Amino acid sequence: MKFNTFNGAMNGICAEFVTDAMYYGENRRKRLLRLPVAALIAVITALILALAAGASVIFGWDGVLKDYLGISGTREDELRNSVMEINQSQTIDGLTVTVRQAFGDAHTVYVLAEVRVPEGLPLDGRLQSIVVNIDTKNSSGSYNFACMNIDEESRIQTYLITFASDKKIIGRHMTITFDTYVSLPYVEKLITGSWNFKYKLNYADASRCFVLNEKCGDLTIKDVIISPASIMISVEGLPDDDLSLDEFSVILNDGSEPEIIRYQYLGNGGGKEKKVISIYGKFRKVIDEKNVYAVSINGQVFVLDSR
Amino acid sequence: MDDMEIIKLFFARSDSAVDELDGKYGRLCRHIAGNILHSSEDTEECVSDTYLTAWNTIPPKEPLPLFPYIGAVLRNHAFNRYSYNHAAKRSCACREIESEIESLSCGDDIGDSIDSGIITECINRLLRAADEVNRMLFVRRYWYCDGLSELSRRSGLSENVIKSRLKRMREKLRADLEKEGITV
Repeated sequence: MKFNTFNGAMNGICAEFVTDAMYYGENRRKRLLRLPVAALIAVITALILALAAGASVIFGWDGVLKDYLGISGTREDELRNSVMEINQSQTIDGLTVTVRQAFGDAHTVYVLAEVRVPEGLPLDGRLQSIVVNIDTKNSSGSYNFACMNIDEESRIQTYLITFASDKKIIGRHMTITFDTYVSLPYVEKLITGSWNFKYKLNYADASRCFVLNEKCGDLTIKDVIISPASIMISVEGLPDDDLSLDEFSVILNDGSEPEIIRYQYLGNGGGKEKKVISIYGKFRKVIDEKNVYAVSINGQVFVLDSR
Repeated sequence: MDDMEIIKLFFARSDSAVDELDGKYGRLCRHIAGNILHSSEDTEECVSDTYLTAWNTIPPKEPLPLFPYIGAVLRNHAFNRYSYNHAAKRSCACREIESEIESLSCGDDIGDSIDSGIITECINRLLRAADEVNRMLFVRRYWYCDGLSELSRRSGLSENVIKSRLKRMREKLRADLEKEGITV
């Protein structure tokens, strides 16, 4: 279809569709922008409670990371071994990038980074690109990033980077390159340069692996790996032209199903060379992997608790 | 100031009509034009042209709500300029969108002779049938011309998921157009 024809047709769509979408996602940003205050209150409260209890060590969960992952209460303590402090910084032309913390499992890692924007530059600019690599061979990785928070007082932007791979990433070196600070929406380069970081992923993996080897229609479900952050299903028999499952979900002991916000296949594709495909999903909020009852795949339920 | 009051200013030929319009919708207009043109100079000219068109067409037009009309005028100006700039100054985001739309083709192009109203009707049907998130993604992508990273920030979904959802919607649109006798 000609681009102009389509654009002309789009101009005529119902006005309500246009007005409904006018501020789509803006509240999400505002809500995120309010996070520091909530996080600050939570930290102060935790500090007071910890001091009152005579705690000797206070773990430094970052508020943005904790809130995004939905970690609270006893889970903060239970998952502390799955977090690593990085705290590497680099400065170019007054703009400092700091990679602060990472949280993850065998296949998924969340990395929290901060960008301190110098006075005189617009605070609503963005890093033009963030490139993530990991030193595994013959693996494929997928990543994305988002600016989660902008603190006007400290002039710090907080970015959350998510990386997922079909290979185990713990013990591997991760490199992240942040490139060029630009203004929005015109993408004018404000600071040109590359901020490079390299560190070894070193945290505990809380994953549980359930070996199934069971038929599911024409497919064979080989195994399911569930961690607080993600689920990975190894499937045999997917056709080359559709490396996906129609539906999969996790059922907890209380019957609830945690929301999975991202799913795709990881790996180098199907075909004769690679019959078993890893289907990956990420939980919107971390789950308690000990409370998993079953997984539902294409409408078929596989109970896991007794395996 | 609500849309009706701004339109009344246009009808009264008040100097403040354009200022009020710019105050209320200027940021959105610059956002869309910036998405298409990726040039501050072109964006400003495009927004100015849009305000001039609004001045010349209101009255007799009385578009309520106001923004869908202003946005459509803006998109026309921006895409005309985009076509004019074409190869030399295409923005990445818009080139991506163009290739997504062109990927709807599987045979002869439908060309300009087809009534775009039929296509609009198919798009409206598609959007009515879609769930809220998909509808927002489609409109933000193809009306507001948002890039994938912008959509990801707004929706909280990964870019891969967004690409996949948009692809499914385009396929549905193609099927609906074919039912209407439009071979794309």
